[in-house]
Amino acid sequence: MSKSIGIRILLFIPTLFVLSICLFGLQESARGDQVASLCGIDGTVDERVYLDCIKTYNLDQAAFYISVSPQFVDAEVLRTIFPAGKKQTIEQLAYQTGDWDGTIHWMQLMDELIERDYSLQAELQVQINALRSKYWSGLSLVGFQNQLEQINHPEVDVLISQIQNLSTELTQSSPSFSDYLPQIDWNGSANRFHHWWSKAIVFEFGQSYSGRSVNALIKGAILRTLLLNLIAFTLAILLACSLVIWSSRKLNEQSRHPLDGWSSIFLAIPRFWLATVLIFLFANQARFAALGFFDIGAFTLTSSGISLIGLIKVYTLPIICLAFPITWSIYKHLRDKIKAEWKMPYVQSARAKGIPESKIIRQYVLPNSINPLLTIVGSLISRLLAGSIIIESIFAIPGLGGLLFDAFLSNDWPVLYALCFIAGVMTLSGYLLSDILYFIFDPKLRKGGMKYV
Amino acid sequence: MNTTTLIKIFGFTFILLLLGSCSKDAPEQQKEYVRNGNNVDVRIPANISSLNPATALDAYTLMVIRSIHQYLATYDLETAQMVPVLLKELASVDTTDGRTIYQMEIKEGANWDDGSPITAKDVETSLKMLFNPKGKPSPYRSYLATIDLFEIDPDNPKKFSVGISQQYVLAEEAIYSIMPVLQASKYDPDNQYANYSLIDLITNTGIDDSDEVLQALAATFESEAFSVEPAGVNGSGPYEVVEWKTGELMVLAKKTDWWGETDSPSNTWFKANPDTIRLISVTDATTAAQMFTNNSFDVAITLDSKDFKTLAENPTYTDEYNFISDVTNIQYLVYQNTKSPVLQDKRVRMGISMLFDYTSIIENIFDGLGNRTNSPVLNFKSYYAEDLPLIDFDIEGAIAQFNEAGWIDNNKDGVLEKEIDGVLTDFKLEYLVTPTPAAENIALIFQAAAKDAGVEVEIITKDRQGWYEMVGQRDFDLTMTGSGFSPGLDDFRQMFHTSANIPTGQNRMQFGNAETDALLDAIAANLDEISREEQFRTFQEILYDEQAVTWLMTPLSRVVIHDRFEHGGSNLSPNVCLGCLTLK
Repeated sequence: MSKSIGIRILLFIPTLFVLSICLFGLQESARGDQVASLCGIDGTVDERVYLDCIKTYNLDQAAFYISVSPQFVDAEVLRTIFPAGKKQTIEQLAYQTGDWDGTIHWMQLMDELIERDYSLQAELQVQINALRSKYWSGLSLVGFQNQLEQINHPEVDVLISQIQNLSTELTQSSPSFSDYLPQIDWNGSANRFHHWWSKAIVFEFGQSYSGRSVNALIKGAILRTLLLNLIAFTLAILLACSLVIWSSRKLNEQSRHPLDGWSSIFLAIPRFWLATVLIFLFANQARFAALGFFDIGAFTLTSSGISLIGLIKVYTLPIICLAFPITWSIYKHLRDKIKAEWKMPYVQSARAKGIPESKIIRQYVLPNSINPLLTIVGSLISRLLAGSIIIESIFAIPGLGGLLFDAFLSNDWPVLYALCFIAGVMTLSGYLLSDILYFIFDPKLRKGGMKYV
Repeated sequence: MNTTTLIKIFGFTFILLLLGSCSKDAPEQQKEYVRNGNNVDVRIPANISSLNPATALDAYTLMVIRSIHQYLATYDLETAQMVPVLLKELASVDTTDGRTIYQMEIKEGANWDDGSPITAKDVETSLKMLFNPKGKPSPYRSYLATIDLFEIDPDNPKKFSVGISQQYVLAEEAIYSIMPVLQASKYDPDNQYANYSLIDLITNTGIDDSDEVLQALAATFESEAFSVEPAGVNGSGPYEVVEWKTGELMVLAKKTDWWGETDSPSNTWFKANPDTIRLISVTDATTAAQMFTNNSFDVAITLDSKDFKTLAENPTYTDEYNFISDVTNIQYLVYQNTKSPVLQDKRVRMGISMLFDYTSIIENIFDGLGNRTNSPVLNFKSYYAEDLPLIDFDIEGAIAQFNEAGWIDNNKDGVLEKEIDGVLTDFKLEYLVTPTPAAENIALIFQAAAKDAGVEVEIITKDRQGWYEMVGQRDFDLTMTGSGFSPGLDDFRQMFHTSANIPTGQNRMQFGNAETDALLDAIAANLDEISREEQFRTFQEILYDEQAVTWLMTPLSRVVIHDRFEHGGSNLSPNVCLGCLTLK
């Protein structure tokens, strides 16, 4: 058993590494300017501030240990071009022409054109401003040609004609096949993934776009989510097992119980709707004073002092909402399995001996039907976050679900990816736990080792 | 292991969790809670995550920062006039050759909590912290980047001069109210900033790339100890943070023996009436309304407009609460892309503005909680052009404008057409929206009206990031957004100058020409109030004539305050002056 578990744990590490690469890839491909988000700045700041930010967050480094780029692009220079829209223009131009030096020369001429002081030529300044707008928006070379043709002023005639000549030259060139042969560079540990991974593996997730440490945000939220979900899960199992035992009392006489039909309906009830109904009925002192016993908002605990009554008032409704679908999911799985087991010879034999049906179910059938429960134990851990997102928001409980929801709304990628990473670790841990439980509960697996799992 | 054992284990775990969750701190917490009395429970629809003044941007974080720190001067919450806070009086201004020197003096008696006086050195150090090149770049730096002189009077440590390299109408306001004054000895106990000149830090000259002292100072300033921990975030303001549970609750308590207690009773920044202010974060609007009906708050800020309206009509709540709808500094507007082939003619843009059913939008989408407007100037300002008529919803008028501009439905297919660059073009518009109910419903109302006028409108919905990308590339004809405007003086160059027509700039309409740029530049440099106001009016007339922006409405605030408090109102977002709440 220990060998099998050891192998599982060893497999855990490469799986986590692959998951990290996927998450980092997502983070890298997320839309928007990371520099602007990380430093709370926009393209209107000066270049120095922008470059400071790039350096602070290692955005001047390559994305991964190995970088692959066409021969005609100098990725290192490209990363530091300010602002993001201009970088896009230059990148497009380089790919279009395959001439990196020409592209950079073109950029220098364009920069010179737009950065000159035209304060005494108002009309020209307006035209240059319009040109800059295109230049910083990732417009194609053809678009610039049209824009440049509209500018006709002695002060910039020479420069414009230089740019136009160079543009014509560039439009005539295109990358050759050999230019597309990838240039593979080894970047060593000076890459963004290395910085991210080396910290993520020890659960150091850096800084949120809000300025707070992601770890501090998670630390403040994780306990509430765990408390909520563990209680909800425990309750769901107890309730589902009790309901299954109860509904299976007369399994011999009627193979279908009314709860079987209702369970499908209950399972289909959305959590947010259930939450709204429960709040309306049981947390609404104004409308239903007699029923409105419960509170909304974890802050009421802080206000009134943390007590058992306070906890019950605040956490009961969200726990019911979380436990409700899990209960019916377990019920359905268990009930189907029990029905299948009921036809087995050992059950017939027990019944022939006159053992009461409820005892047969509790002592023989239920233990043999436990497998679906174990599967759900494994998958539920990975669902902790998912289940909490809406419920925590509705009940104003600042847990991981609420944190994820807020991060999603504000595009706070560092928090989002940290939570996804944690969810990934929890999923893998859940499946590992599930495997171990299978091993403990299933004698066939104990004898044959975990290779059957 | 059989099922019974399993059930026992789960049952035991359940009980353990329940028991384990009972904190040993309960009795202590119990003592602190007093729901009534001179304490205010406030619902805020946001989570405050950091109180670093150099990076704080949202209205709720700034609301707290303004309660715990103080500025040199700032806008009075009730009168919207610039008033001195730490300054004895507003600066004396000396302008020569386009260069401006502001001379200021900090009040006698303005002290830190430890009793030490607030001095010019604190002001200088605060600015140094803002501009420390090793720190996180602050979005506020650009407002003060033209400072080229900071001199402390050798004979009076409370007196100082600030020089600005150009004449700029908002420079004075920026010096006063961009950065609160922080205690130098708290953030820099070893006085290490004394070795760096402010101007060098601003211009980043003579600063070594690997300067470890500056790195350490920046790390200290940005550390959680000074941006999150209650003990570290407090300043010279009337309140101090005594408890903070992120995403849940922040408790501000009034300081005892605060220096400003009797300083300027009429100044809203010196009003600190409630003993305790508890800010409760509830982001979900339905939950907030439900909690409100359970009497969970004394003040609820920005309730959902439907909930606000329903509750305000219910005598159960109107007997106990005041429902306040004040003018806000937000405007909902529709950008018209003036460089779009179909919108290049200003008559067409005027026609488009006539196709918005303003009354229906305000009544049905915002539940009547909004005011009409016709310019970017907030309508309580003296230079608001009230003579300009409001544009009415008028389909016939819009058709007339389109026909005049050459758009006519000759082929009777229900869509107007016009020859553009030799090509017969149908009048089709792309209307970009974010997936919010208000934006989508406004677009649908407009689409229906436009169809009647012979304009085909395609509504394109993009998430926030996608919206920014398309708007940055000016890839739209029309798009709606909400925009906040200063309660003080305006610098419209950020929105209407052609230099702001960059992907991240606010000139999303691609509006402007040499004449408007010159006018905006002149306004920004004009320190004479009378002629400046005239220039503002001229600009509003041009803007009205051009219709690059359709001004939909100004939403009203939705603040509910318990009847046991008196409140004077506030012009500054989020439209409530918490310190001004007076227990009846």
